[in-house]
Amino acid sequence: MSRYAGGDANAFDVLYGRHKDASYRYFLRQLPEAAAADCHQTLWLNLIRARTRYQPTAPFRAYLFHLAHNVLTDQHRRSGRNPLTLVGTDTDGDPVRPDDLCGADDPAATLVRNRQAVRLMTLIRALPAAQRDALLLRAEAGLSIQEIADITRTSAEGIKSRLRYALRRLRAEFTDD
Amino acid sequence: MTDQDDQSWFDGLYQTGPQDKPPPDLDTRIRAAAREPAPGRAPRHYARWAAAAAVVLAAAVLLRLPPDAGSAYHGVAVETDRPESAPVAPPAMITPVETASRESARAGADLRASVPSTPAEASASAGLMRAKAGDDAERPAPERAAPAKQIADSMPAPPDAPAQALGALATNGTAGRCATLHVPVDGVNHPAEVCIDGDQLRVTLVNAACPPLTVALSASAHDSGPAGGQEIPSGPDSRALLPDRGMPVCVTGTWDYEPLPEQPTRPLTRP
Repeated sequence: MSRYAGGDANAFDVLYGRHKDASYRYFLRQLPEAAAADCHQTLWLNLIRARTRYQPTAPFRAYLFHLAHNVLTDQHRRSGRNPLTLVGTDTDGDPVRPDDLCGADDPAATLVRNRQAVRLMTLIRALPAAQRDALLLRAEAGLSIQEIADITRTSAEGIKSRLRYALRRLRAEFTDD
Repeated sequence: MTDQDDQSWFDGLYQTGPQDKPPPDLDTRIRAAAREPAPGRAPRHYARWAAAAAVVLAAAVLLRLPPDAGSAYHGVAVETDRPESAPVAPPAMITPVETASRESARAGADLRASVPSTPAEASASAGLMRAKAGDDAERPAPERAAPAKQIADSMPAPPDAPAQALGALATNGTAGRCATLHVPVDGVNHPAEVCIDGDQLRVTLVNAACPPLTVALSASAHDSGPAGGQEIPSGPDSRALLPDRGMPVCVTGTWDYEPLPEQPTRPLTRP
Protein backbone atom coordinates (compact mmCIF):
# COMPACT_ATOMS: atom_id res chain seq x y z
CA MET A 1 0.00 0.00 0.00
CA SER A 2 2.88 2.33 0.71
CA ARG A 3 4.25 1.69 -2.77
CA TYR A 4 0.87 2.45 -4.27
CA ALA A 5 0.54 5.60 -2.18
CA GLY A 6 3.94 6.57 -3.49
CA GLY A 7 2.70 6.40 -7.07
CA ASP A 8 3.34 2.80 -8.07
CA ALA A 9 0.09 1.94 -9.83
CA ASN A 10 1.15 -1.67 -10.36
CA ALA A 11 1.33 -2.16 -6.63
CA PHE A 12 -2.42 -1.76 -6.49
CA ASP A 13 -2.95 -4.76 -8.73
CA VAL A 14 -0.99 -6.91 -6.34
CA LEU A 15 -2.82 -5.49 -3.37
CA TYR A 16 -6.23 -5.88 -4.93
CA GLY A 17 -5.57 -9.39 -6.11
CA ARG A 18 -4.54 -10.39 -2.62
CA HIS A 19 -7.54 -9.02 -0.73
CA LYS A 20 -10.43 -8.60 -3.14
CA ASP A 21 -12.06 -11.99 -2.57
CA ALA A 22 -12.08 -11.67 1.20
CA SER A 23 -13.47 -8.17 1.12
CA TYR A 24 -16.12 -9.16 -1.39
CA ARG A 25 -17.22 -12.13 0.68
CA TYR A 26 -17.29 -10.01 3.80
CA PHE A 27 -20.01 -7.99 2.15
CA LEU A 28 -21.67 -10.87 0.38
CA ARG A 29 -22.22 -12.77 3.61
CA GLN A 30 -24.15 -9.85 5.03
CA LEU A 31 -25.85 -8.15 2.11
CA PRO A 32 -27.75 -8.96 -1.05
CA GLU A 33 -25.46 -9.63 -3.97
CA ALA A 34 -26.05 -6.30 -5.70
CA ALA A 35 -25.50 -4.36 -2.50
CA ALA A 36 -22.41 -6.40 -1.77
CA ALA A 37 -20.97 -5.52 -5.15
CA ASP A 38 -21.72 -1.85 -4.56
CA CYS A 39 -20.09 -1.93 -1.16
CA HIS A 40 -17.09 -3.76 -2.52
CA GLN A 41 -16.61 -1.08 -5.15
CA THR A 42 -17.15 1.69 -2.63
CA LEU A 43 -14.58 0.17 -0.32
CA TRP A 44 -11.84 0.06 -2.91
CA LEU A 45 -12.65 3.45 -4.36
CA ASN A 46 -12.46 4.90 -0.88
CA LEU A 47 -9.12 3.28 -0.43
CA ILE A 48 -7.92 4.63 -3.78
CA ARG A 49 -9.01 8.15 -2.94
CA ALA A 50 -7.42 8.02 0.51
CA ARG A 51 -4.15 6.54 -0.65
CA THR A 52 -2.19 9.74 -0.18
CA ARG A 53 -3.27 9.88 3.44
CA TYR A 54 -2.41 6.28 4.20
CA GLN A 55 -0.22 5.83 7.26
CA PRO A 56 1.17 2.34 7.77
CA THR A 57 0.41 2.28 11.47
CA ALA A 58 -1.47 -1.01 11.33
CA PRO A 59 -1.42 -4.09 9.14
CA PHE A 60 -2.99 -3.33 5.81
CA ARG A 61 -5.57 -6.04 6.24
CA ALA A 62 -6.83 -4.44 9.43
CA TYR A 63 -6.87 -1.06 7.68
CA LEU A 64 -8.80 -2.46 4.74
CA PHE A 65 -11.42 -4.16 6.84
CA HIS A 66 -11.76 -1.13 9.02
CA LEU A 67 -12.81 0.71 5.89
CA ALA A 68 -15.02 -2.22 4.93
CA HIS A 69 -16.74 -2.16 8.30
CA ASN A 70 -17.44 1.53 7.86
CA VAL A 71 -18.86 0.96 4.39
CA LEU A 72 -21.07 -1.79 5.73
CA THR A 73 -22.26 0.41 8.57
CA ASP A 74 -23.13 3.12 6.08
CA GLN A 75 -24.99 0.61 3.96
CA HIS A 76 -27.03 -0.58 6.92
CA ARG A 77 -27.76 3.02 7.85
CA ARG A 78 -28.97 3.82 4.36
CA SER A 79 -31.14 0.74 4.10
CA GLY A 80 -32.47 1.21 7.59
CA ARG A 81 -32.39 -2.47 8.27
CA ASN A 82 -30.12 -5.43 8.41
CA PRO A 83 -31.14 -7.39 5.38
CA LEU A 84 -31.17 -11.10 5.26
CA THR A 85 -31.20 -12.64 1.87
CA LEU A 86 -31.04 -16.03 0.36
CA VAL A 87 -28.61 -16.59 -2.41
CA GLY A 88 -30.95 -18.90 -4.28
CA THR A 89 -32.74 -22.16 -3.93
CA ASP A 90 -32.38 -25.51 -5.54
CA THR A 91 -35.15 -27.79 -6.56
CA ASP A 92 -35.63 -28.88 -2.98
CA GLY A 93 -35.97 -25.34 -1.83
CA ASP A 94 -32.62 -25.32 -0.08
CA PRO A 95 -30.38 -22.37 -0.61
CA VAL A 96 -27.47 -23.16 -2.87
CA ARG A 97 -24.76 -21.34 -4.72
CA PRO A 98 -23.71 -23.60 -7.56
CA ASP A 99 -20.55 -21.83 -8.57
CA ASP A 100 -17.22 -21.78 -6.79
CA LEU A 101 -17.97 -24.71 -4.57
CA CYS A 102 -15.02 -26.53 -3.14
CA GLY A 103 -14.12 -30.16 -3.57
CA ALA A 104 -14.82 -31.74 -6.91
CA ASP A 105 -13.27 -35.15 -6.45
CA ASP A 106 -16.14 -37.08 -4.94
CA PRO A 107 -19.45 -35.84 -6.28
CA ALA A 108 -21.41 -37.29 -3.39
CA ALA A 109 -19.08 -35.98 -0.70
CA THR A 110 -18.86 -32.68 -2.48
CA LEU A 111 -22.58 -32.39 -2.57
CA VAL A 112 -22.81 -33.05 1.15
CA ARG A 113 -20.11 -30.55 1.96
CA ASN A 114 -21.63 -28.00 -0.32
CA ARG A 115 -24.98 -28.39 1.27
CA GLN A 116 -23.41 -28.03 4.69
CA ALA A 117 -21.49 -24.96 3.64
CA VAL A 118 -24.50 -23.34 2.09
CA ARG A 119 -26.45 -24.14 5.21
CA LEU A 120 -23.76 -22.55 7.31
CA MET A 121 -23.86 -19.39 5.19
CA THR A 122 -27.57 -19.22 5.67
CA LEU A 123 -27.20 -19.51 9.39
CA ILE A 124 -24.51 -16.87 9.41
CA ARG A 125 -26.85 -14.49 7.68
CA ALA A 126 -29.40 -15.11 10.40
CA LEU A 127 -27.02 -14.06 13.16
CA PRO A 128 -27.40 -10.71 14.88
CA ALA A 129 -25.50 -8.12 12.93
CA ALA A 130 -22.88 -7.42 15.56
CA GLN A 131 -22.11 -11.11 16.01
CA ARG A 132 -22.06 -11.73 12.30
CA ASP A 133 -19.77 -8.79 11.65
CA ALA A 134 -17.29 -9.91 14.29
CA LEU A 135 -17.44 -13.49 13.02
CA LEU A 136 -16.72 -12.47 9.43
CA LEU A 137 -13.96 -10.10 10.39
CA ARG A 138 -12.42 -13.08 12.08
CA ALA A 139 -13.18 -15.61 9.34
CA GLU A 140 -12.61 -13.59 6.17
CA ALA A 141 -10.11 -10.98 7.28
CA GLY A 142 -8.31 -13.13 9.81
CA LEU A 143 -8.16 -10.28 12.27
CA SER A 144 -7.31 -10.68 15.91
CA ILE A 145 -9.72 -10.09 18.75
CA GLN A 146 -8.07 -6.78 19.52
CA GLU A 147 -8.12 -5.64 15.89
CA ILE A 148 -11.82 -6.42 15.65
CA ALA A 149 -12.41 -4.58 18.90
CA ASP A 150 -10.59 -1.54 17.53
CA ILE A 151 -12.54 -1.55 14.30
CA THR A 152 -15.91 -1.95 15.93
CA ARG A 153 -15.02 0.34 18.84
CA THR A 154 -15.79 -2.41 21.32
CA SER A 155 -13.82 -3.99 24.08
CA ALA A 156 -11.89 -7.15 23.40
CA GLU A 157 -14.02 -8.96 25.97
CA GLY A 158 -17.11 -7.81 24.13
CA ILE A 159 -15.79 -9.26 20.90
CA LYS A 160 -14.93 -12.53 22.58
CA SER A 161 -18.45 -12.70 23.91
CA ARG A 162 -19.97 -11.99 20.51
CA LEU A 163 -17.87 -14.66 18.86
CA ARG A 164 -18.68 -17.16 21.57
CA TYR A 165 -22.41 -16.64 21.28
CA ALA A 166 -22.27 -16.68 17.51
CA LEU A 167 -20.38 -19.94 17.30
CA ARG A 168 -22.56 -21.65 19.86
CA ARG A 169 -25.68 -20.59 18.07
CA LEU A 170 -24.39 -21.68 14.68
CA ARG A 171 -23.31 -25.04 15.93
CA ALA A 172 -26.52 -25.59 17.81
CA GLU A 173 -28.73 -24.75 14.90
CA PHE A 174 -26.57 -26.65 12.48
CA THR A 175 -26.72 -29.74 14.64
CA ASP A 176 -30.47 -29.46 15.02
CA ASP A 177 -30.83 -29.68 11.26
CA MET B 1 -17.84 -28.24 24.06
CA THR B 2 -15.33 -25.50 24.58
CA ASP B 3 -15.02 -22.27 22.71
CA GLN B 4 -12.00 -23.67 20.97
CA ASP B 5 -14.01 -26.67 19.77
CA ASP B 6 -16.67 -24.39 18.37
CA GLN B 7 -14.06 -22.30 16.63
CA SER B 8 -12.41 -25.35 15.08
CA TRP B 9 -15.73 -26.71 13.93
CA PHE B 10 -16.63 -23.39 12.35
CA ASP B 11 -13.28 -22.88 10.64
CA GLY B 12 -13.36 -26.36 9.15
CA LEU B 13 -16.83 -25.94 7.79
CA TYR B 14 -16.42 -22.36 6.67
CA GLN B 15 -13.42 -23.21 4.54
CA THR B 16 -15.54 -25.56 2.49
CA GLY B 17 -17.98 -22.77 1.75
CA PRO B 18 -18.33 -21.06 -1.56
CA GLN B 19 -15.30 -19.03 -2.51
CA ASP B 20 -17.17 -16.16 -4.01
CA LYS B 21 -15.28 -13.63 -6.10
CA PRO B 22 -16.22 -10.16 -7.23
CA PRO B 23 -17.61 -9.91 -10.76
CA PRO B 24 -14.90 -9.40 -13.40
CA ASP B 25 -16.37 -6.13 -14.64
CA LEU B 26 -16.22 -4.82 -11.10
CA ASP B 27 -12.57 -5.77 -10.92
CA THR B 28 -11.94 -3.94 -14.18
CA ARG B 29 -13.60 -0.74 -12.98
CA ILE B 30 -11.73 -0.75 -9.71
CA ARG B 31 -8.36 -1.39 -11.32
CA ALA B 32 -9.00 1.38 -13.83
CA ALA B 33 -9.92 3.79 -11.07
CA ALA B 34 -6.72 2.94 -9.28
CA ARG B 35 -4.67 4.17 -12.22
CA GLU B 36 -6.23 7.60 -12.29
CA PRO B 37 -4.17 10.48 -10.89
CA ALA B 38 -4.23 10.94 -7.19
CA PRO B 39 -6.87 13.39 -6.05
CA GLY B 40 -5.50 16.58 -4.66
CA ARG B 41 -4.97 20.22 -5.43
CA ALA B 42 -5.49 20.35 -9.15
CA PRO B 43 -4.12 23.35 -11.05
CA ARG B 44 -7.69 24.38 -11.71
CA HIS B 45 -8.20 24.58 -7.99
CA TYR B 46 -5.25 26.93 -7.61
CA ALA B 47 -6.43 29.02 -10.55
CA ARG B 48 -9.75 29.65 -8.87
CA TRP B 49 -8.03 30.77 -5.70
CA ALA B 50 -5.69 33.02 -7.64
CA ALA B 51 -8.59 34.65 -9.45
CA ALA B 52 -10.44 35.23 -6.20
CA ALA B 53 -7.34 36.73 -4.62
CA ALA B 54 -6.86 39.05 -7.60
CA VAL B 55 -10.41 40.32 -7.32
CA VAL B 56 -10.02 40.98 -3.61
CA LEU B 57 -6.72 42.75 -4.17
CA ALA B 58 -8.14 44.92 -6.93
CA ALA B 59 -11.12 45.87 -4.80
CA ALA B 60 -8.83 46.75 -1.93
CA VAL B 61 -6.77 49.02 -4.18
CA LEU B 62 -9.81 50.72 -5.64
CA LEU B 63 -11.40 51.32 -2.29
CA ARG B 64 -8.23 52.56 -0.65
CA LEU B 65 -8.45 56.16 0.53
CA PRO B 66 -5.88 58.57 -0.83
CA PRO B 67 -2.93 58.97 1.48
CA ASP B 68 -3.65 62.66 2.08
CA ALA B 69 -7.29 62.16 2.79
CA GLY B 70 -8.62 64.31 5.55
CA SER B 71 -8.83 63.17 9.08
CA ALA B 72 -10.88 64.74 11.77
CA TYR B 73 -9.71 65.99 15.06
CA HIS B 74 -12.31 67.32 17.42
CA GLY B 75 -14.82 67.29 14.63
CA VAL B 76 -12.79 69.58 12.42
CA ALA B 77 -11.18 68.40 9.26
CA VAL B 78 -7.45 68.65 9.36
CA GLU B 79 -5.48 67.83 6.29
CA THR B 80 -2.04 66.54 6.80
CA ASP B 81 0.30 64.19 5.07
CA ARG B 82 0.40 62.11 8.16
CA PRO B 83 1.65 58.65 7.32
CA GLU B 84 -1.01 56.02 7.70
CA SER B 85 1.02 54.27 10.31
CA ALA B 86 1.55 57.34 12.38
CA PRO B 87 -0.47 57.66 15.53
CA VAL B 88 -3.55 59.80 15.43
CA ALA B 89 -4.85 62.36 17.88
CA PRO B 90 -2.30 65.07 18.02
CA PRO B 91 -2.81 67.46 20.85
CA ALA B 92 -3.18 70.39 18.51
CA MET B 93 -5.21 71.25 15.49
CA ILE B 94 -4.61 73.38 12.49
CA THR B 95 -7.52 74.13 10.26
CA PRO B 96 -7.42 76.12 7.09
CA VAL B 97 -9.87 78.96 7.13
CA GLU B 98 -8.74 81.24 4.44
CA THR B 99 -6.44 81.10 1.53
CA ALA B 100 -4.66 83.90 -0.19
CA SER B 101 -3.85 83.98 -3.80
CA ARG B 102 -1.00 81.80 -4.91
CA GLU B 103 -0.19 84.38 -7.56
CA SER B 104 1.44 86.53 -4.95
CA ALA B 105 3.20 83.57 -3.46
CA ARG B 106 4.51 82.38 -6.79
CA ALA B 107 5.62 85.83 -7.73
CA GLY B 108 7.77 85.82 -4.67
CA ALA B 109 6.67 89.30 -3.91
CA ASP B 110 7.78 90.51 -0.58
CA LEU B 111 4.64 92.18 0.44
CA ARG B 112 6.35 93.44 3.51
CA ALA B 113 7.57 96.22 1.29
CA SER B 114 4.12 96.90 0.01
CA VAL B 115 2.24 97.03 3.20
CA PRO B 116 -0.84 99.03 2.53
CA SER B 117 -0.59 102.36 4.09
CA THR B 118 -4.03 103.67 3.23
CA PRO B 119 -7.45 102.16 3.68
CA ALA B 120 -7.85 101.97 -0.05
CA GLU B 121 -4.64 100.11 -0.49
CA ALA B 122 -5.54 97.89 2.37
CA SER B 123 -8.84 97.15 0.76
CA ALA B 124 -7.14 96.37 -2.51
CA SER B 125 -4.64 94.16 -0.81
CA ALA B 126 -7.35 92.42 1.04
CA GLY B 127 -8.98 91.76 -2.28
CA LEU B 128 -6.20 89.32 -2.98
CA MET B 129 -7.32 87.32 -0.04
CA ARG B 130 -10.26 85.14 0.21
CA ALA B 131 -12.29 86.18 3.16
CA LYS B 132 -13.41 82.73 4.14
CA ALA B 133 -12.88 79.19 3.18
CA GLY B 134 -16.39 79.22 1.77
CA ASP B 135 -15.26 81.66 -0.84
CA ASP B 136 -12.47 79.38 -1.67
CA ALA B 137 -14.81 76.53 -2.17
CA GLU B 138 -16.92 78.55 -4.56
CA ARG B 139 -14.14 78.92 -7.08
CA PRO B 140 -14.15 76.53 -9.99
CA ALA B 141 -12.14 73.46 -9.32
CA PRO B 142 -9.71 73.80 -12.27
CA GLU B 143 -8.83 77.30 -11.20
CA ARG B 144 -7.88 75.99 -7.81
CA ALA B 145 -6.22 72.83 -8.90
CA ALA B 146 -3.79 74.22 -11.41
CA PRO B 147 -1.81 76.59 -9.18
CA ALA B 148 -2.03 74.18 -6.32
CA LYS B 149 -0.44 71.57 -8.47
CA GLN B 150 2.28 73.94 -9.54
CA ILE B 151 3.06 74.72 -5.96
CA ALA B 152 2.96 71.10 -5.01
CA ASP B 153 5.30 70.26 -7.85
CA SER B 154 7.79 72.80 -6.67
CA MET B 155 7.72 71.49 -3.15
CA PRO B 156 10.28 69.06 -1.84
CA ALA B 157 9.25 65.65 -0.74
CA PRO B 158 6.97 65.93 2.26
CA PRO B 159 8.79 65.33 5.48
CA ASP B 160 7.42 62.90 7.98
CA ALA B 161 6.28 65.57 10.32
CA PRO B 162 2.76 64.95 11.45
CA ALA B 163 0.61 67.50 13.05
CA GLN B 164 1.27 66.09 16.46
CA ALA B 165 4.72 67.62 16.28
CA LEU B 166 3.11 70.97 16.61
CA GLY B 167 0.91 69.62 19.32
CA ALA B 168 3.95 68.39 21.16
CA LEU B 169 5.42 71.82 20.92
CA ALA B 170 2.29 73.41 22.23
CA THR B 171 1.90 70.86 24.95
CA ASN B 172 5.39 71.35 26.20
CA GLY B 173 5.06 75.06 25.85
CA THR B 174 8.60 75.19 24.65
CA ALA B 175 9.13 78.61 23.27
CA GLY B 176 11.26 78.85 20.21
CA ARG B 177 10.80 75.23 19.26
CA CYS B 178 9.78 74.44 15.74
CA ALA B 179 8.42 71.52 13.90
CA THR B 180 8.05 70.77 10.26
CA LEU B 181 4.61 69.65 9.32
CA HIS B 182 2.14 69.98 6.54
CA VAL B 183 -0.38 72.72 6.41
CA PRO B 184 -3.19 72.62 3.93
CA VAL B 185 -3.63 75.37 1.40
CA ASP B 186 -6.52 74.95 -0.94
CA GLY B 187 -6.70 71.31 -0.13
CA VAL B 188 -3.07 70.74 -0.94
CA ASN B 189 -0.70 70.00 1.87
CA HIS B 190 2.50 71.96 1.92
CA PRO B 191 5.45 71.42 4.15
CA ALA B 192 5.80 74.24 6.52
CA GLU B 193 7.89 75.12 9.50
CA VAL B 194 5.69 75.85 12.45
CA CYS B 195 7.19 77.42 15.49
CA ILE B 196 5.82 78.51 18.78
CA ASP B 197 7.53 81.62 19.87
CA GLY B 198 6.18 82.67 23.17
CA ASP B 199 2.50 83.01 22.62
CA GLN B 200 2.81 83.25 18.89
CA LEU B 201 2.48 80.67 16.26
CA ARG B 202 4.72 81.21 13.28
CA VAL B 203 4.10 79.31 10.11
CA THR B 204 6.50 79.44 7.22
CA LEU B 205 5.82 77.59 4.05
CA VAL B 206 8.86 75.80 2.83
CA ASN B 207 10.08 76.98 -0.55
CA ALA B 208 7.51 79.69 -0.62
CA ALA B 209 9.03 82.99 -1.49
CA CYS B 210 7.41 84.64 1.42
CA PRO B 211 8.57 85.80 4.80
CA PRO B 212 7.33 83.87 7.75
CA LEU B 213 3.73 84.16 8.63
CA THR B 214 3.34 84.98 12.22
CA VAL B 215 0.03 84.75 13.91
CA ALA B 216 -0.94 84.84 17.48
CA LEU B 217 -2.33 82.17 19.61
CA SER B 218 -5.75 82.88 20.84
CA ALA B 219 -6.66 82.73 24.44
CA SER B 220 -10.19 81.88 23.52
CA ALA B 221 -9.24 79.03 21.31
CA HIS B 222 -11.59 76.62 23.01
CA ASP B 223 -14.56 78.86 23.20
CA SER B 224 -15.13 80.52 19.93
CA GLY B 225 -15.86 79.54 16.43
CA PRO B 226 -17.96 76.72 15.11
CA ALA B 227 -14.91 74.55 14.99
CA GLY B 228 -14.04 75.35 18.51
CA GLY B 229 -11.05 77.38 17.48
CA GLN B 230 -10.27 81.00 17.13
CA GLU B 231 -10.19 82.23 13.60
CA ILE B 232 -7.19 84.41 13.07
CA PRO B 233 -7.61 86.95 10.34
CA SER B 234 -5.01 87.14 7.68
CA GLY B 235 -3.61 89.79 5.48
CA PRO B 236 -3.44 93.39 6.53
CA ASP B 237 -6.02 92.81 9.22
CA SER B 238 -3.48 90.76 11.09
CA ARG B 239 -1.61 93.82 11.85
CA ALA B 240 -3.95 94.42 14.67
CA LEU B 241 -2.86 91.17 16.18
CA LEU B 242 0.79 91.60 15.53
CA PRO B 243 1.60 95.19 16.03
CA ASP B 244 5.09 94.56 17.22
CA ARG B 245 6.07 91.42 15.44
CA GLY B 246 6.04 92.45 11.89
CA MET B 247 3.42 92.15 9.26
CA PRO B 248 2.15 88.89 7.87
CA VAL B 249 2.63 90.26 4.43
CA CYS B 250 2.70 87.05 2.46
CA VAL B 251 -0.19 85.28 3.92
CA THR B 252 -1.08 82.07 2.23
CA GLY B 253 -3.55 81.05 4.77
CA THR B 254 -4.76 81.37 8.26
CA TRP B 255 -5.31 78.62 10.68
CA ASP B 256 -7.21 77.96 13.75
CA TYR B 257 -5.03 76.77 16.49
CA GLU B 258 -6.64 74.75 19.17
CA PRO B 259 -4.65 73.11 21.88
CA LEU B 260 -6.23 70.04 23.36
CA PRO B 261 -8.28 70.67 26.46
CA GLU B 262 -6.06 68.61 28.68
CA GLN B 263 -2.84 70.24 27.71
CA PRO B 264 -1.98 73.79 28.43
CA THR B 265 -1.59 74.94 31.89
CA ARG B 266 0.29 77.80 30.32
CA PRO B 267 -2.18 80.59 29.69
CA LEU B 268 -2.52 81.67 26.14
CA THR B 269 -2.88 85.36 25.88
CA ARG B 270 -3.47 87.62 23.05
CA PRO B 271 -0.50 89.87 22.58
